[in-house]
Amino acid sequence: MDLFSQLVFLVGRVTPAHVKLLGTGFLVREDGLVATTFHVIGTDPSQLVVLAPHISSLNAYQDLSDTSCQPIPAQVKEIDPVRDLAILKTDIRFSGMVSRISGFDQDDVGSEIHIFGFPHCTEGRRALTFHRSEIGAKVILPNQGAKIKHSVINTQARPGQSGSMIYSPNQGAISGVLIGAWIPGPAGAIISGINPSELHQTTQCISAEYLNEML
Amino acid sequence: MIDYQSYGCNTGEWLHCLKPYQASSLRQILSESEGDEDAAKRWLSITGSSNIAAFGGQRNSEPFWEQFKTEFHRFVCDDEAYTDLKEKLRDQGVITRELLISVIAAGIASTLGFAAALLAPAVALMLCAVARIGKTAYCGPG
Repeated sequence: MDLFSQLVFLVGRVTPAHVKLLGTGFLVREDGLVATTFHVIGTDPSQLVVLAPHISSLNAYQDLSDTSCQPIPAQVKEIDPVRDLAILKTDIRFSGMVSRISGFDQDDVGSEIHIFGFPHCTEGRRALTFHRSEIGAKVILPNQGAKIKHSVINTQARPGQSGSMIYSPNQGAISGVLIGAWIPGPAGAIISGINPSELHQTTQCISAEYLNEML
Repeated sequence: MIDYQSYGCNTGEWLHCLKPYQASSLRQILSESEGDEDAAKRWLSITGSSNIAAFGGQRNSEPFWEQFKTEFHRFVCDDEAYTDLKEKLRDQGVITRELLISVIAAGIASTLGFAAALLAPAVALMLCAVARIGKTAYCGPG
């Protein structure tokens, strides 16, 4: 389990004042390729970084008052706006073996999945967090004529978790990427910065198989 | 001077110059579009599924397509624009479609501050459109 503390990263952008945290990414190849979502990095490729791991064990207490960090420059290698995925190139060199990339085909509804990400990082909080959940449904989401495999996972996600790794213990592989919460349409009333329609346990994750075509 | 029409206007040949995942998505988009330029506009307008609330990142509300189209037009039509890149292309001797796409995408990306990886498919479609009607017609008034 501790391996994931070295494979999952914060994605951010260097600003004159600090590193603006944008979301989560994770290593998909030993030579430094990091997967995240397109909406995490946006269209601007400048000053993107991933932050080097700040803990070596998931059991370590993460000091939320510690604002020091080690940014690693990241360049945009690939973007797929249709599937909302992106690949970043970094100088990270990982001496271990990165989990293989699979998808949701081999997991049944009800299968356990593990989520590794940084909820609330967009609000400045750095806490690599593990969630255990299960696949609630497999769905096809259309976008621009493409029919794209997703899973609905039975947990509530929050800002900062976009780009989180979905790991299938059954397969021993990365099976998905967390995208966000299903919403019925245009945002309604926003209360204290929160859209109530996002507050539910139907989080959408795209099948990781699409990453293979981008590496 | 780049002879755009010499590259031909077979959209499939231009898509073949892209990554398979890009070509696959563009074929779908083209099937629902009103031509190459409309497909390029759609590609640059996509921000994932409209029914998913994104949990991260920063929104960019700038008129992305218009900026891209303006710069692409400058590259093709304004001999005084992007001269350094055009000279580099000339120095290459044979300018393949792949090279043309990557150089234009990188040039426009650098000017606008956008990711070249996102622009390349739109550049390919726009080059196909130019090849179809010719530079004179593309750059003409109107």
